[in-house]
Amino acid sequence: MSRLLAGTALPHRLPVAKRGRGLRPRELQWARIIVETLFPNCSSVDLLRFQQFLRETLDALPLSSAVALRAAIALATVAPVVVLRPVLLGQLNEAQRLEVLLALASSDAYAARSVYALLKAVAARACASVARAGGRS
Amino acid sequence: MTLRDDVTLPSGAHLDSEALRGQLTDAADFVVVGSGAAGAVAASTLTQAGFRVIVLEEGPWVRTRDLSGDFARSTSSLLRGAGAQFTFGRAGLTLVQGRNVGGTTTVNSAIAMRAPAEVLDGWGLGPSLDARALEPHYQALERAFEVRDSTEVAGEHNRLFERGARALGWQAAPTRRFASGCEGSGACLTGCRGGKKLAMGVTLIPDALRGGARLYSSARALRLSTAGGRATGVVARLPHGTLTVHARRGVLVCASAVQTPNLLRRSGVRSRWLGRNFQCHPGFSLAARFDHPVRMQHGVTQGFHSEHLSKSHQVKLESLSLQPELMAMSIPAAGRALTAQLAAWDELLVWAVVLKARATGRVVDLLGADPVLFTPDRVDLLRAREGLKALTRMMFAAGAREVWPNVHGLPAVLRSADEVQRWDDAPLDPRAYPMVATHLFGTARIGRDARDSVVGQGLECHDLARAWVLDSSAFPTNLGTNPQLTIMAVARLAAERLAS
Repeated sequence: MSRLLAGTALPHRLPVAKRGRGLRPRELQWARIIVETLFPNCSSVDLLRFQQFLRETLDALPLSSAVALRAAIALATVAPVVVLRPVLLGQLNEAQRLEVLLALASSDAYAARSVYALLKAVAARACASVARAGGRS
Repeated sequence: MTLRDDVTLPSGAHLDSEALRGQLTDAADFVVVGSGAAGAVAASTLTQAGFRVIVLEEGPWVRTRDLSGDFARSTSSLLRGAGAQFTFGRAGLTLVQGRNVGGTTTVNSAIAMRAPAEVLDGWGLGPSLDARALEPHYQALERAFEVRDSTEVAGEHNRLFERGARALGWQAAPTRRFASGCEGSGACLTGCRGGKKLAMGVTLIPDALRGGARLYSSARALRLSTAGGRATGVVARLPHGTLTVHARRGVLVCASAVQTPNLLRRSGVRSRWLGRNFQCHPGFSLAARFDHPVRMQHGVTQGFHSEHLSKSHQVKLESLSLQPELMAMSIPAAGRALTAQLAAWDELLVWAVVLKARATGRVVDLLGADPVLFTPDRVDLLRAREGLKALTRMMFAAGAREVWPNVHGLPAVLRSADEVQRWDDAPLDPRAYPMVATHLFGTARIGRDARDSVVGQGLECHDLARAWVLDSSAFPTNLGTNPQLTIMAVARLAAERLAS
C-alpha cells in the first residue's frame, strides 16, 4: 500500500466509512490522487468529506455509471504502464501524473478520452462539493 | 401564476412515500404518472374540472427552501441517475432528466417557446393535433404563466450573445421564459432557490393539490393494472412497501420519453413502435475567454437565442451559463493550468448549439433499466459543426480573446476569427464531440393507424383502453425548439378533451 502512495501527501490509512457502493480504501486513495492531480487546489480538502462525497455519488449513480467510474479510476491508475513506465499513478510526481492523464485526454482512443472525461467530471464535482462543505462547517 | 411550494396544502394532499409502510391502496378518477410539464398540467386541468386525481412521482419533492445550490447535491436529488446517465451507441451522450416533483421543469432554463407551425402541421394529424388546435392552449398557458423575456436581468453573457449576433447581422432575440420576478441568479440548472422560476413544483402541482388532488412523491410506478383490455389503475413501489391505486376513469402516463415506453411494456402493451423512434435535441457547448469580466452567473441562465441557422441547418444557438463544475469540462486544461483558468472565472463564458437531430434511436427494456440506444448521424454532425462554427464567429465578433472548441482533432484554443475555418477540419465522428441529450421525444408515437403508432389521435393507447400518453413520448418528431410549452399545451388539450 505504501508504495502506491509515494509522491502524495495522503495519510496511509483512511477512516472507515459506512459501506454502500463506497470505494475500497485502495480505490479511494487512487481516486484522491487523480482528483489532486486534476485539481491541485483540492489537496487540502477534508478526507472524510471526500470519502463521503464519493460514497454518496456512487450510491446515486446508475449501476452502469458506477461501474464505469470504478473502472475509470482503476484504468487511470495503471495508465502509466502504457504511457510512461511500469508504475502506478501514485508513484509518479505531480508533473508526471498530469502527463499521464493528459495523454488519456488527447488519445485517439475514444475509451481513453471517456475515462479522462468521466474522471474530470467527478473530480470537479468532488472538489467543489467538498470545498463548499468545508466552507459551511 | 405565482403559487409557491410553501403554501399551506390540505391535510393529506401530499404524501411522502418515505414515511409510508406496507401494502397501501387508494382510488381516484384519474391517476397521473409523473409530475413534470405534462403530468402537472393534466392533474391541474382535471382537478379544476372536478375530478379526483392522484399523481405518482418517482422522485422526491425538494422544496425551494431546501435547494442547496450545491451542484453535486442538486444533481443527486433532482436528476435521474444523479445526472450521470448516458446513451449507448457509437458515442455516449449525457442524458439529462429531472426526477423530482416538477420533473425536468425544476432543472431546466424555463424556456417557453412554441413549436414551429410547420413541425406540428407536418405530423399530419389534422385538427386533432395541429398548430391551430394547440393555439388556444399556447395562449392560455402563456397568459397564465405571464411568459416573458428577462432582458432586465440578462447579464453580460447574454448581452454579449446579442452583440455577437448583431455584429454579424444575424437574428437574435431575448428568450421568453416561465419566470416571474427573475433575479438573474444564473442558477436555473440547480433549481431556482428564489422560487422565481415557475417550475411545476411551485405552480401547477400545488395548484392541483389545493384543488383536491393527492400527490405521492417517491412512488415509482411499476405497471398499470388492467382488466378486460382497459387500464384500471397503477401499481407503484414505495421505499417501504407498495401502493395500488384504482383509477375509475383511466391512467395518464406522463413519465417521459425514456420511462413511458417501458412502463407501458410492463403493462402488457405490445406495439412494435413502443420504444422506437426515440428522438432528441443533442446539445453542444462552446466556451470562450474574454478580456473583461463576463460574470456568467450574474444574469439569466439562458436569456438570448438565435434562429439564424434554424431553417438551413436545424440548429438553434443559445446563450448559457454553467456552474464551475460543468464549466471545468469545457476548459482545455488540467492541473495547475486548469486552476489558473478557473481563477479567471469571471472572464469565461459558454454558449450552446441545440440540434434538431435527424437520427432516431430506441429505448429498450433491460432488466428493469431503460437504456437508450442513439447515435447522431453524419448529417447531424455536419449541421452541429456549422452551428459551432457560427458560435465561434459570434464569440470573436463579441470580443472573445480565445475560443475553446473541446473537440477531438481540433486545436484546443482558437485565437482569432481567422481560425474559424479550422472547424471544417473537425471530424464527422460523434466520438469527437461531448454531447448532452436533452428534449426527448417519440417513443410512444401518436398516429392514425395502430400499425405505425402506439397511441391514437386522442392519445389513448391502441392496445390498452383508458391509458393515455400525454408526454412528449407521443410526439412523432422532435420540435427544433425547447419543448416544455408544447408538452404543456398538448397535455392541456388532451386533459380538457378528457374532462369534457
